[in-house]
Amino acid sequence: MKRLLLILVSVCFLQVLLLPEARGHEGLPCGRPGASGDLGVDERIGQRIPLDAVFYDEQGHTISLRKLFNRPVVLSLVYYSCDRVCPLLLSAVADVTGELKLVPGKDYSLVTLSFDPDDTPKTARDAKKNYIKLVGGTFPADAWLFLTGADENIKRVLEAVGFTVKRDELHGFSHPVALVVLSKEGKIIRYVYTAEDNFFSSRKRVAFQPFDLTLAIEDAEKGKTGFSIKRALAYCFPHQPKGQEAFFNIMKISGAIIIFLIVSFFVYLSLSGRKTQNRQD
Amino acid sequence: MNSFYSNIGPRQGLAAWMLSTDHKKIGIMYLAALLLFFSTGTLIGVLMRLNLISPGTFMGAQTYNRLFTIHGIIQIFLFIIPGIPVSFGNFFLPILIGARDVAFPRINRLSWWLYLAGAGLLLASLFFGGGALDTGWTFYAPYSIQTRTNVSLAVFAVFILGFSSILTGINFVTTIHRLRAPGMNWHRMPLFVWTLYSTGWVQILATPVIAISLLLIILERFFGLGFFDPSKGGDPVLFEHLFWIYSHPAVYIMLLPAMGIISEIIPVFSRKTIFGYKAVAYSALAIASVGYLVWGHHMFTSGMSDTARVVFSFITFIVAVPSGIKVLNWVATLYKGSIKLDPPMLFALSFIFLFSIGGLTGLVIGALATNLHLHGTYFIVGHFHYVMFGGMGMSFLAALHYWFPKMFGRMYSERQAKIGWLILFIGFNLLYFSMFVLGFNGMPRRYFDYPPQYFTGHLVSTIGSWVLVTGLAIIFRNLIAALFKGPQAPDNPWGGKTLEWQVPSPPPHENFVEIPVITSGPYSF
Repeated sequence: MKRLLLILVSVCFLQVLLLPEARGHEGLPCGRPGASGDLGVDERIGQRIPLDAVFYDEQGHTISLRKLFNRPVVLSLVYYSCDRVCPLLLSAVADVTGELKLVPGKDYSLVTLSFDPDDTPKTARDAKKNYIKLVGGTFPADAWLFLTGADENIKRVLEAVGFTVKRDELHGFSHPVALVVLSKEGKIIRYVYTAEDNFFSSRKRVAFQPFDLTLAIEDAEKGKTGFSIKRALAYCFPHQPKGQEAFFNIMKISGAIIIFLIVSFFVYLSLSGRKTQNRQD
Repeated sequence: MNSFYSNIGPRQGLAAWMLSTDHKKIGIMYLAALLLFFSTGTLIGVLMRLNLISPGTFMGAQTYNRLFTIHGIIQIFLFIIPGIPVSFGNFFLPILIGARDVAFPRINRLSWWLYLAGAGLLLASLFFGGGALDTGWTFYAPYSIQTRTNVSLAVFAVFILGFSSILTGINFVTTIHRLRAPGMNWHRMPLFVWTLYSTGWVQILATPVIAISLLLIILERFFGLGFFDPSKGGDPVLFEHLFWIYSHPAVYIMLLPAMGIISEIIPVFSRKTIFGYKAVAYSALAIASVGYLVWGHHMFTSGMSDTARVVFSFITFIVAVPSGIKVLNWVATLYKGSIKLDPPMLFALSFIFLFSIGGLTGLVIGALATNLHLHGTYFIVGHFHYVMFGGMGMSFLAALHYWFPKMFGRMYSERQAKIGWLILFIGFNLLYFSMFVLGFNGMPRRYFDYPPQYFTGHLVSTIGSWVLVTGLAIIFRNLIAALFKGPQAPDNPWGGKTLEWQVPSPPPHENFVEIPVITSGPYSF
């Protein structure tokens, strides 16, 4: 009877394994990172962002997006209290603008928007001071705006560009790392991702190719949309999310039990000594 | 006296074999299965090489992805990892220590059944669900969670094979502790037994880790739990850690028994006791323990702190020391020995040569600066084929030629074996040495196609694969012919001193009429 039960249970288990895996494939369709996941970029190329949305500039003046969009815009989405990937992202923007032949303030402008409604024009001002200094040279300060704003306006812009960000307790936000290039009409021309080979091998974890960005801005000037060049989609996410502490605890406990059993097995074998074999034919 | 092939139980035919608890019969069945999978894996490898001289002519890219995955999975999980312990270990461990069987004969049979079940499920995964998987044998997440191929069933099969491995480990360790003949103290054990002992512990300790990681993949695929998927808060690097915590020690599960066989063959064909018995014996334990701490060297480019990389690189250099000790002791054994170049010895010597190349190139990629350039290239592929095939594979063939007369009571043609060896050796170096050159020049591994400057390298390598297969065909044709028509083998054709040569060929049921009493070391020539 026991044996029968065992066979039944194993047959059921096998059945599950042979079934087409309904749930396994829902997560992330290949080739479109994060399209339907909880976090990521769902590209909205060709669509427009709401130019009537109103934000604050670094001085605390209200400013509508329409006023900023008189030339192609390179939009970066971060939050200013971020101490992880956002500084890397903004430094990469600062680096790549130094390498572009195009003239900032004439051929394009840079806009950085915080998606944290708790950020204030004061934090934006501090960030601006840092990164304008980092670009160095004769970079015109009014060609790079650092905006803050109210929750509902932020949500409208995020929704329009297809970014999903998630607030988490451990470190502010989990969010994707990418630039959005827009035409002066507010049309999304292309997304620019970080170059893959930089991510692990150099100290600059995030870097954009001047070639990619120039191409995108030139297309934005003409209003021509195109395909995004997929380099690597980077995310910023906490390394050890709270929910996984339990997982690591399970690993620790089961590891300890296994090692304890193995050591006891060794001690038992060492103490019990040899068995005498006296069977003879 | 009846050989163990004669039937003494009530059952006949296949049932008498499948239900047998005799360690020798189980060893023979394992051997047959291993050779079957080895041939399949090798033929798939030849097909892959065929694609690489003319990408797209013989197969599409997705077929290629599936082929290299199946090649890896079959060779690693069905051949190399179980490999020597389950076949030659099963057959010879009890005889070498003067026992009638292993400590748990029924568990031994269970582990054989589990192996068959695992292999069966793995084959089923090629045809059911999404079909043969395309993840590479490492099942790296997050791809293994996204692909539509049948990862879950294949991974579950590997999970079952893991249990088979753990049971064999427990069985061997217990056998060595409990069933040694009177007078056989730890320092009188043949060195093959020492390596099986070290391997047993690695199997027991490391295999649960891969079992758990593979279960997590299944859970993630079926229930959408986010262990490894970053968009669900998981971490793909975590999978790499868990995978390599097992799979690096698994390299030693493959290699330690191979080294044990070389330690058996070298003294016999040099007519000389092994040089530095204790050093060779303890270096097996050293490899088994330090081998746990080097897994990070597979992940130097996956995102790790510099401190961790330096530490892992350092320990990688340390683990090369006991392997070096073994190689130097084998060479010292040869020195002033009366060397006979019989087929087993030829295979053993080519093991030393090829394994040394494999080991030293291992240091090249274990060093951080060079690793960043060579990671993920054909250099890695060349390296591990020199270690796996040049190491474990050559040792397996050495053991097959060394113990064939004992296991089957028949003798093969030594001339044919030598011809086969020579062709295999030439083909091997053509096939895999060109991979070092390709990889050094930047050819990435697992690619279906490549720019024209790599063509010559791939061509040489593919021609090498044909030569290699010819060599293998000669070797196996010779052995299969001997199995049916070979002359009767004497009890001790090579003049060995260990216990298996003191019993008839093939050995009788329960091995010994009377349990021998051991009074000296294993290699007293």
